[in-house]
Amino acid sequence: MNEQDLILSDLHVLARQIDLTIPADCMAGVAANTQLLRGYVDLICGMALPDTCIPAYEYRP
Amino acid sequence: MSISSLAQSIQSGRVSAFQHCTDTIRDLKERDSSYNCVTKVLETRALQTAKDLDARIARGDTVGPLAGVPFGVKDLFDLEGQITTAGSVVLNNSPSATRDAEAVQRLCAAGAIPVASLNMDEFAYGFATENAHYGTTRNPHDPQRLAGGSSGGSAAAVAANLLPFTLGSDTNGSIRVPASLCGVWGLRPTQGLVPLAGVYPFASSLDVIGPFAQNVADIRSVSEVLIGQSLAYKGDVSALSVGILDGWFAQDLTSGVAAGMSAIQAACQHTQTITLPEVARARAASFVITAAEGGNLHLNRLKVEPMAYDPATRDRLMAGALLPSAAVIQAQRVRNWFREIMHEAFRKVDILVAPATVGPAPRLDQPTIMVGGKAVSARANLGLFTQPLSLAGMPVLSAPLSPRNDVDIPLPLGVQFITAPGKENTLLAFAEMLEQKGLLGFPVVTARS
Repeated sequence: MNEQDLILSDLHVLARQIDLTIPADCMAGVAANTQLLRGYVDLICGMALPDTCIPAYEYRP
Repeated sequence: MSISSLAQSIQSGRVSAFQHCTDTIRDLKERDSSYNCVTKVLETRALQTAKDLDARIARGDTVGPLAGVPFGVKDLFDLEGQITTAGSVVLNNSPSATRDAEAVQRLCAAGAIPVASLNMDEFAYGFATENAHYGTTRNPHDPQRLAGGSSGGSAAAVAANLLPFTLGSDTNGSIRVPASLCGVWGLRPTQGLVPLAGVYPFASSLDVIGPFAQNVADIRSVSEVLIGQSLAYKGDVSALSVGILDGWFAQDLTSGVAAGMSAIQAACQHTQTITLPEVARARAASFVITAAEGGNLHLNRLKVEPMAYDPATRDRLMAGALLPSAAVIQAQRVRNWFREIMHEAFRKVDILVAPATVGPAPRLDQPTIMVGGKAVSARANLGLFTQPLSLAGMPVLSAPLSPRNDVDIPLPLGVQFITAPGKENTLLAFAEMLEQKGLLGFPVVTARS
């Protein structure tokens, strides 16, 4: 399976988890955006944070 | 004429609110075909309100500080009796709003008159105001260029002198990017300071609303009403300490932006260079939170009518809906971490200065800009300098640099001034000092130019 097929396969799995059907006409665009977001996810998940740094759910600047 | 001068003329009876409103609507109808700022003209409501205002003034009633001043709102603000479409057709069958958005109510209570709703990227997800349903908003300074987004109609309407002020929303830069590209002023107030009631959300944990105007004084007049307090500054403006952001914020600047930053630094008495760490990660966190919250908000509709969306918006929202929770939670942790970084910076200086965009508005047919020596998507990277700052939620003023006199037809360029939460008055006083020195302010496009 090549890289593009892997991405599309991943998308189908992820979409099934939230009961979303991605129309065939949208797959290329969703895949491109997912690739972009993965780059950003890699950046933030590569950052080591102290356990005491909690999520900003009740954010106040 | 400034907003306060116009309001005083109307309050004194020298100018009729009805006549001014009539002239404004006629101008909108005649000139907007060049720019496509407007999605709806609220003619009946506006003219009736203006007529009522003139009658109140004639009776000697007290009217507010924005009496008779017309304004427009981004298409995601509720307006009583109108369907809030948020730049989409997906909400066309929703019920009409039963009341104005809270921010609009505050402006109306001060005498201002809403006359139009204004174009935007669908559901505010974009930096270009290229909308598959309502068309592209063009930059009044060069209609072959983007106005920026997502509040592009709001910025362009002020730049074209169609309206003295407008409202927009800013999640990742949607006030600051179009303000910069259109040469107007735009304020992203402290997150939470101006109520979002009646504003269609995009990424609610980052969303902020604020005004566009032609000068600092007008931004202050409108912001005081929106925030509900005086924004006068009592201190010595020349004593403010200023941090010029470098590193991430000094990359790939065009010569005009770099020259403007240098001129601002030279005009301030107390400056130092500040390098914020992990800005790329702050921007990434903002990207991830936005995509996830936006995707979740629209998920149920994306399941049943995906093809009703603007294709560009739909694909972004679907990708956001698929993000794993681990990434979203990590983004919210990065956000808290970055907040502390920003507060640390404000223990050293009062104001931070950064460019708003790397350069002028891209042409409509221009797909890329240069960042880090690489050609990257112009539209996705217009928020390069605004997105990281959104994450912290501090107040940011986007200010237009004065036109350069070394080019024949200067295009607008913008800078950002950032300060600690709740210190909008400091931002405005600092910007006013630079405006008076001739470093800030870009002429609007008039009917004759």
